Amino acid sequence: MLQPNVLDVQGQAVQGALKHLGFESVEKVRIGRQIEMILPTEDREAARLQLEKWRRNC
Amino acid sequence: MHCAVLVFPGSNCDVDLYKVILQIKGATAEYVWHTDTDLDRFDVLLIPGGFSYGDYLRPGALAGVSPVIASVKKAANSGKLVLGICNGFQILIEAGLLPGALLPNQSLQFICDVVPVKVTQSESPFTSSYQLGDILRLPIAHGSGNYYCDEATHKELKSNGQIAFSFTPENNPNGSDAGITGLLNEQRNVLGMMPHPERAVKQWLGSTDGLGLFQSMLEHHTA
Repeated sequence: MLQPNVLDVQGQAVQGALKHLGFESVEKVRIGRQIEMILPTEDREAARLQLEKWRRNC
Repeated sequence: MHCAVLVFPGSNCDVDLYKVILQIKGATAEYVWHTDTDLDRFDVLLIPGGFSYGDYLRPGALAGVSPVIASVKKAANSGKLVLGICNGFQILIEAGLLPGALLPNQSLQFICDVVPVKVTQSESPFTSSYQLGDILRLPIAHGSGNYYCDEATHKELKSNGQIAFSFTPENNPNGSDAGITGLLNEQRNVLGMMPHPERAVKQWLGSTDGLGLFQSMLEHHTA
């Protein structure tokens, strides 16, 4: 996990690209050894489905 | 033959590619920034090398979903010539216009070298001025040129004659499957290649073996 103080330009670039693909609602993307995405939802299942869609399309 | 040289944030081989086109009598070129989606005025689309988006996520991954790509696909489907060099090849693969994947070099090192490249398909708009089996001296400069595809795809590529360029077994710098370093689509109007033909166009560059590729394209266009 990227330390919170790291400026993650890679994550920002990927977040921008996700917007092109229609994934507007992603609040944040941070990429370290794993890819973290912050989605503005309390619905765990909806979040999982969104990530699955992203995983398959990118 | 009016060519588009697509430019993504981080593309850096666009100028070399643009300059080669100017060298070819009868060909003209224009830079096209990646947010421009109107490519109708072009006969040929060229995707240069470099580090688009800093190779973030994967080389070519973010460029592959850029606004201009939909127009590239449309042009490719209509039969226009599309050439992707190095990062351009990576972008074509990420965009789904060519099969397989380009993995990090086996040595995990960025390799900058001049290597022998064999022409393994001379019947295409890009390679018609070469002879089958010609060995070209072309520069390579890449960290992820290690081509991979599964057995089934490889079989198909071979039987369709889609493998345009290969390294010889003794001179495979990046470990790519069967030395594949240049790939055509089935219709042979899209070519992706890792070596840089645009850097082998003047005596003082060390080799002029790349010129044939651009001349083939012009011949095909004016035919």
